[in-house]
Amino acid sequence: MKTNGVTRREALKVMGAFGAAALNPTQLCPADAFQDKTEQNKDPNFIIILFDTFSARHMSLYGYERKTTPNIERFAKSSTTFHRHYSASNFTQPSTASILTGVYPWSHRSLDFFESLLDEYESTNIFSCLRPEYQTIAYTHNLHALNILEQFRDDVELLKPIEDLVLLRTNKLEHRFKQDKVIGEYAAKRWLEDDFSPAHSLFINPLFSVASSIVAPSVVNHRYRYSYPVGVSELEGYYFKLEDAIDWILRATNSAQPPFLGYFHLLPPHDPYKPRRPFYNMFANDGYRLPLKPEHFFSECKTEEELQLLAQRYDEYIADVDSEFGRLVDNLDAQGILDNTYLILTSDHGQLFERGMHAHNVPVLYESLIHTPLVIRAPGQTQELHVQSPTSAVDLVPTILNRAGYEVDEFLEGKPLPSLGGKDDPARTIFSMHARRNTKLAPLTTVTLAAIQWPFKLIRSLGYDGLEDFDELFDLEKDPDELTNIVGQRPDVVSMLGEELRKSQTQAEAKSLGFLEME
Amino acid sequence: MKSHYRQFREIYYCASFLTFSISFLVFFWDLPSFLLRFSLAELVGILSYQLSFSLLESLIVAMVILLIVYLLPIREVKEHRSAAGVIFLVFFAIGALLFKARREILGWLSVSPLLSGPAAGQVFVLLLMVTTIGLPLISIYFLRNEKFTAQIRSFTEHLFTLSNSYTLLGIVGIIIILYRNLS
Repeated sequence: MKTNGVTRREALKVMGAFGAAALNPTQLCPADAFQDKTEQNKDPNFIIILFDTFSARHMSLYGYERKTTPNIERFAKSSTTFHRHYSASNFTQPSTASILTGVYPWSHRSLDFFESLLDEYESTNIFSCLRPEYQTIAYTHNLHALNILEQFRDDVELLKPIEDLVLLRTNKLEHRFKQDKVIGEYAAKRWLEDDFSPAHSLFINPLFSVASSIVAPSVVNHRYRYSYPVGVSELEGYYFKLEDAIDWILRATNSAQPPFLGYFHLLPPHDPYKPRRPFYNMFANDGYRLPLKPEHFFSECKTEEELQLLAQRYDEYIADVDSEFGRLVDNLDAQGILDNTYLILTSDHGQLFERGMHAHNVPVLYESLIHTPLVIRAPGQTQELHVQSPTSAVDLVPTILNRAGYEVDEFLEGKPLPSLGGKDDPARTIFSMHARRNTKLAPLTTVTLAAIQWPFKLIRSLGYDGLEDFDELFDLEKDPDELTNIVGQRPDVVSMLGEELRKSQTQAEAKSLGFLEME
Repeated sequence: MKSHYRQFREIYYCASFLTFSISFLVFFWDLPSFLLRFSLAELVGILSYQLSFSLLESLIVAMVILLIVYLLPIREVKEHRSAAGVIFLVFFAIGALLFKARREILGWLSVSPLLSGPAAGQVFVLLLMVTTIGLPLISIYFLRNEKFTAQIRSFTEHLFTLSNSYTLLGIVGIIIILYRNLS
């Protein structure tokens, strides 16, 4: 709509510039972003589809033996596939925070469940950087991702309540505190539900536990037993169907006011693994077995047979997810939305089925855990492209800013992705970390850190009780299964990567912990 | 009416003592990890929610127990309602604590050579039923002893100060969460 020859876009740009100029000069989102948009920019939309706990190592797109992702492979034929893409951590809270802020966990400091980001990063995220020009929409099934999104509430125009797309929610107390969401929900959860320590409630907790673990699922699963032979998807008292979320995403993106950014963080294929009937047992007795790996210090003593069966169910669940993603892409295409949209498929972290562990939130950083998918279709893209350089989850924010025509600020630890505004850098070093047991506001000393400079990967474990600090070095070209620790054979690489880790961590913590001294 | 209020009060004193004590115990158990993760304001917020929920739980539990003692057609219960209510409350609390420790108990039961697989779970359920239903019904017999019922009522009266303190803390908690949610 034009007014006196000025378009709505231009009017918003000017208003945004005035608003941006009023921002605190230490505001980390570049204040001049709104005036620096390039002429070529056509205000593309961005849709981020994130499937939780989706390991690239279990995708046929990335060479996995089981045919788990035929639809994603079809999507990749006219997209850019990033073959060496890594998450910033191995569980949802810090990983999601990194995806949405463009910095590693050692900067944003949301290191554990329910931990808030530092204030500086709460107000600087992908949503705030694109506002007010972009409409911002978000939805998630995952309570920990919601915890992060709640901290960006002021910048997300439409944050769809989690319960709107669930079949049943057992803890109805959690969402009563709209103004005090983070602490109110955490307190409600701790009162009613057992976690690593008992619930705070004495009498109501047992009744709630029985109702939520026996009565509620029986009712829901009985209703959907034909489509879901092992029950519907669920996590922490929420029961849902993935197809309901996909249907809503199609409606929301169709009715969204362009340009828009949509962030959709969907729980499958996170465990418990609940594939629909056509996918259930599709890989049973196919003869495939995951490679046997030695037990680890942090082993949960899962047997090989248990791990093989769990991996089979996980793969079936991935095939189900893949089918829904295919449906999403086909419908978005038919609606014409992809003509001016970057469609991004990724994950927050992977899953382990090895070394005695079936987990992701553990102090290890093997490939199954942090090698995550990234496939991006640019508007009108028909060419199939492949990027072999290492890339990181922290690259998404700078890439989106670059594609939307904004300047990418230096404080971001990520860079625009190759073929999407960034340079190809095969010698780049990227990082990942697990620091759940570390104090939020102290330097990382109880931590597992990984530095990847292709083909080498250094994993450094520090400060754990009962375990001496140790390093693992793998050559991912020759040893993709990470079976042989070559620390002794390549001390030069250990020293080089160790020094990069130390430098980057020190720089990041000087900034992040140094901010606190300013306050 | 006065006697109904007195009966409710005595049961409430016991209910609030049990719920708040456990709530504080678990809160202080969590406190070391809370201190690493939350600011002081957030800690006060969490504690306020716990106190408010505990107050609510105490009131609900006291009303439910009162309803049970009014509905049970047993002469001893009708004659000594508040003492019967306190007995039920104590055994229900023991049952709830057994439920909280179910992982440890099931683990211990499973190690026994006599029990394996589902048998351990069945024994645990039986234990819970004995604690929450069997023992309270048996103890009703002791309500015939006037000394016993007098001791119970004396015990609940001794909880007066503590219970009122807990109630006050619960009200403060409600005020804080109202402030956090309405400001």
